[in-house]
Amino acid sequence: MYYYLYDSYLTDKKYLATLAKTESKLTDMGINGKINRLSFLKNIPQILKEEVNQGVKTIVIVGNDRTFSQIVNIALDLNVTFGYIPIGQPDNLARIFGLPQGEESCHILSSRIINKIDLGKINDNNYFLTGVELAGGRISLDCDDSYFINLEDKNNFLTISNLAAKNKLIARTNHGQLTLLIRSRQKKLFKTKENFSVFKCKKIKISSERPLPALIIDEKKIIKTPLEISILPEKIKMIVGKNRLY
Amino acid sequence: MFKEPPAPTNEIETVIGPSVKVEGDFVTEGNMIIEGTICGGVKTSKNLKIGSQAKVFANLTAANALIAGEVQGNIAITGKMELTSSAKIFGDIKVGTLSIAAGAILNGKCQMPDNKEKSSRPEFSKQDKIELKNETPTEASDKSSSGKAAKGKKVQ
Repeated sequence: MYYYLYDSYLTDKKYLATLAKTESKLTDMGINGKINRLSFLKNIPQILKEEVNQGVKTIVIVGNDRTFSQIVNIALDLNVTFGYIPIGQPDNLARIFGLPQGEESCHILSSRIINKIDLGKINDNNYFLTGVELAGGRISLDCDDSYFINLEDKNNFLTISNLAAKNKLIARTNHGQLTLLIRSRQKKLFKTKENFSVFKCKKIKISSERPLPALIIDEKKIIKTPLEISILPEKIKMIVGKNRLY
Repeated sequence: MFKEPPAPTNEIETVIGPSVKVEGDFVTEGNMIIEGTICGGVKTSKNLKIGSQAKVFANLTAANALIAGEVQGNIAITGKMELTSSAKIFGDIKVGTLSIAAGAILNGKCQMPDNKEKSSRPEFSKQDKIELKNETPTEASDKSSSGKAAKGKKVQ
């Protein structure tokens, strides 16, 4: 049984034609189901829990990456398969999952290639699919409780990623591991030299002299250090396309 | 009909940049490049490259290694190890195949564990000295000279 969750921005005129085509395609394929439109007044976790209790097996998010990232924090509690029909931008996550825009995604939804996706966890209460970004100086990182990294330069830019296709350096990630990318800029007389380091680990503890802001890329949410980031392997069941990037 | 499993790639899994200091036991299953400073232990089942600016104060274990920087610690390489002219090693090495460029510094014992090529030592001490039955060349020359003298006397 399919359940469709539409983002509120899809009521805009420019998306109506795409949405109509997608709906008719879903009906033709026989995978149509109950539709719910998001609004500021609706409590998403509560709605989804009620629907799952009524027997929904597949929840399809219709919207963009921001819509999809709203369900990441509650996905662990719901033992269902997730689908995603991207309409509009940003669609970085959709490209990672190999999902084309609009009605083309209906074919992928009906073919049901289900993959179990790893989920990143921050400080026991935040979850992410793509990654976390952090910038600053004098940072200490404790990886896997076996080694630690000291960053003494002022200009360090850290990316801890689970799934990412934005940066070629971290496009492919190993399953069950986080990729830590450290970019540091060293200013010399006439030049600015940038060098990078890459590590793979399962758990990272980040601490700094002063509390530094860290950005969760999915939700565009800011949290402050100290952080404890770990990976939960194969936690979300997701319908993906053949052209997925991981 | 079915897709073949992807072939193993030579992707670099870990890079330690020049501005990074790592301390502790570092264990990885992929290729590794060290350009910065590391203290503790490094263990990889694949290839290891140590850049010219790198300083490694650790025991190293890898399949193959290319070393251009400074290493203070023991090194165990199962395959091939290459030392460039800028390499400095202060520690013992255990390696399958070793290549050292002119100018590289190696202070320590070097051990190559493969003993199959080693020839067996002949047992010289148990052999007796062979006694030659032929006369010595000095005696022979004396006899010949006396013979010639005798012949000469006969002619007279």
